[in-house]
Amino acid sequence: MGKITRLLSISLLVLLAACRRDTPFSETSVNDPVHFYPARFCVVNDEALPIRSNGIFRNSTLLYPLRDQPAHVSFDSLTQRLCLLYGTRVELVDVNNWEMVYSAGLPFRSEKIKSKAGKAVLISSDAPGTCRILDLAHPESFRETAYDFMLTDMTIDSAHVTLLGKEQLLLCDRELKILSSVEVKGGKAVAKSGPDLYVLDTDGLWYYSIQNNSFHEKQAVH
Amino acid sequence: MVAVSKSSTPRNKPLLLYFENEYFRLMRNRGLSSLLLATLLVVSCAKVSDYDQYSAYYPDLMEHKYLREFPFIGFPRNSTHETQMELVNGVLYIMDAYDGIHALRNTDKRKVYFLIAPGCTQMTPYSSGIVSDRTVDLITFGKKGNQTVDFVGQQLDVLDELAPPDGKEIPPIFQRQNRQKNTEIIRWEK
Repeated sequence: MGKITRLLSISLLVLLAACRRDTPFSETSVNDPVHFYPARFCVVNDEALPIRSNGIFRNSTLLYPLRDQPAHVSFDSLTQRLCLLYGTRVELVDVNNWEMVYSAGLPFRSEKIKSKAGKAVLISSDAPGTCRILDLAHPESFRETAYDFMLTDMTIDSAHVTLLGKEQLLLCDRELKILSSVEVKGGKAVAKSGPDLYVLDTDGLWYYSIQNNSFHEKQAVH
Repeated sequence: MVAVSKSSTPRNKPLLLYFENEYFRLMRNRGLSSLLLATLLVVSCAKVSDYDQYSAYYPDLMEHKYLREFPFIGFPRNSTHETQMELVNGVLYIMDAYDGIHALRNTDKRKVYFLIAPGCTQMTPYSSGIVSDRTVDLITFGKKGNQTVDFVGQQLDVLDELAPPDGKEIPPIFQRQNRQKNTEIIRWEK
């Protein structure tokens, strides 16, 4: 019986030792060559500023120190505020004096934030989708909507917010009220400027024109 | 009368109880239990292996002369890894991760150029175009003179190196001081 116990103990130790070692083939999928990187730079008043692990720089001058590199950043020229997104926290910085003016935790994980004309929109990176819209001058008051599908990308301009999911594209007003929707197949990215909107999905690139707060014309782009 | 041994076998006790008994019996043996504890300590405090410390990915490197001296704008090409789109001043910019950016004219919905930016991962719009990373550099494309899309400018060596995607350290052989001179990491592969 003593021999069996010793054998079991040794096996347990060997197992423990094996678990400590991480094999080089246990990490990310080989078939996924595109990886997620944190924000590496931001554009503030048309000037590109590098973001390194310890801060935001202009040439070699530290403008704003950072403890972590943000997942995504967006600058709003109207309010002169830079939005920094850290997964489960959002931070606003006044670029006139590079001081933090707002910081708050998020009830969901988010890696995308975009801002325009005094408002910022951020979407959850998990399913089901959640979208929050912030008034950058009064960030304490925000509007949040949950959807029953995952959100992959979004746009915001002075008239609309568009939300792209795997199967749906929503055209909303700046209060997140849905104005129109269309079906997409595996939505990946969206871009909008005025009445022109492009959607990239698994079937390719599509152009939509927007008229009267509605998707008007659809055209495949080759 | 049948003699009953002190320690029961799995045949007449639940397996878990049996191991529990065996464990406590083993622990009564001071020498063996100390040895076990010492071994467990050594295993748990052992120096992290190279596999733990360094990335299992390997980098694609590009020489500075190819990265920074060759033309920055090429002919349209097929997309491979589109990750982001921006529509600025009638031009749709589509990021093709690690390779460059497709420029498509909104008026006729045609790809007109491929903006070459090896090692690109992110682009951000500005008033007349986009700024993109190119490994450790920042590069700007947009309206310049009469051209709707052109190379506007670049800032060299302003960003950190592209880190391995598993968050681990760059293996020593690929660290800047050890690898071929005048090269930059443009992507990581397995």
